Amino acid sequence: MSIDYYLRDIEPLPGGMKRLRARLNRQPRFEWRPIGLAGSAVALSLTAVALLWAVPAIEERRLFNELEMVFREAKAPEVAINGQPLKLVGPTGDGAVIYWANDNDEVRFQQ
Amino acid sequence: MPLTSDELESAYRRLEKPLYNYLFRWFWDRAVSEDLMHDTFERLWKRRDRIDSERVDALIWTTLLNLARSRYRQVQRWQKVPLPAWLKARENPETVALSDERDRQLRQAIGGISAAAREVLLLELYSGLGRAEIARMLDIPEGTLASRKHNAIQHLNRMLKEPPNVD
Repeated sequence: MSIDYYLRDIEPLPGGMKRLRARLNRQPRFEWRPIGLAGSAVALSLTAVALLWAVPAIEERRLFNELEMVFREAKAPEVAINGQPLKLVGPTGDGAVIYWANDNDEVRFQQ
Repeated sequence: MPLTSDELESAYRRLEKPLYNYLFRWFWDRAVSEDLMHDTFERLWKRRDRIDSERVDALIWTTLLNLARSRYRQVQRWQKVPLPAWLKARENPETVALSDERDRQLRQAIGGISAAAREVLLLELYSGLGRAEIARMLDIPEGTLASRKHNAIQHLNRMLKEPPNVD
C-alpha cells in the first residue's frame, strides 16, 4: 500500500454549492463598512452633542433637587448657604424660581 | 474585469474537491472544512469588483491558506487551555463514523509533521498547482519547498511504514 492509499480523495459534503449560494444571498444584518469614515464621524458627533446636552441637564436637575431639599428642611422662603443668602420665589406654574439675593442672578428650573 | 457570479460558481465547482481535501487533512472535520471553504468564497465575493477573474484560482488558494492558518492557530491555542472535559470541543460524531482506520493512522502521522511542511505536502497533493506557483504563494524558495516536502514524506513513510511512493 502506498501513501496514496491513505491520502485518497474524499468527496465533499453534498449540496455545498447550494449552501454557498444561500450564504452569499443572505442579507447581512448589519454592514459597518458602507457607513465608512464619514458615517463614523457623524455618529461620533451625534454622541458628543448628546453628551454635551445631557451632562449639564443632569447637573442642573441635581442642583435643583439639592436646593429644593434645603428649602424644605428650612421650612422658610429664605436660607443662607455658606453665608450666601438664597430666596425662594416660586414655585410658579411650570417650575420654581430662585434668586441669588446678592447679585440678583436668576436661575430658573423646570420641574 | 470584476468577478461574476457565474465565474465564482464555476471556480467553486472546479476547486471544491481539492480545497475540501486540503482542509480536511488539517482539521479532520467535514463541517469545519466546508465552513472555511465558504468563508473563502464569501470573502472573494465581497471583493469581486477588485478581483481579476484571470487569477481567481490562485487568489482562492491564497485566501484559503490564510484562513486555514488562522483557524489552525485558534485550534492550537484552545488545545493548550486546560478546560474541564465537559467544556472541551468533542469530535464531530459524524466525522468519527465516517473516518476509517486509514484516516486515523494518517491523522496520527500527519500530526507529527511541522505546520510548514504539512502545508507544502498537502498543497502539492491536492491543489493541482505547480511547484513554482506554490512556492510563490507560500513566499519561500523552490529549494525550501522541495526539502520540506521531502522531510514530510520521509516522516509519513516512517510513520505509515511504507516505502517511499510519492514523488
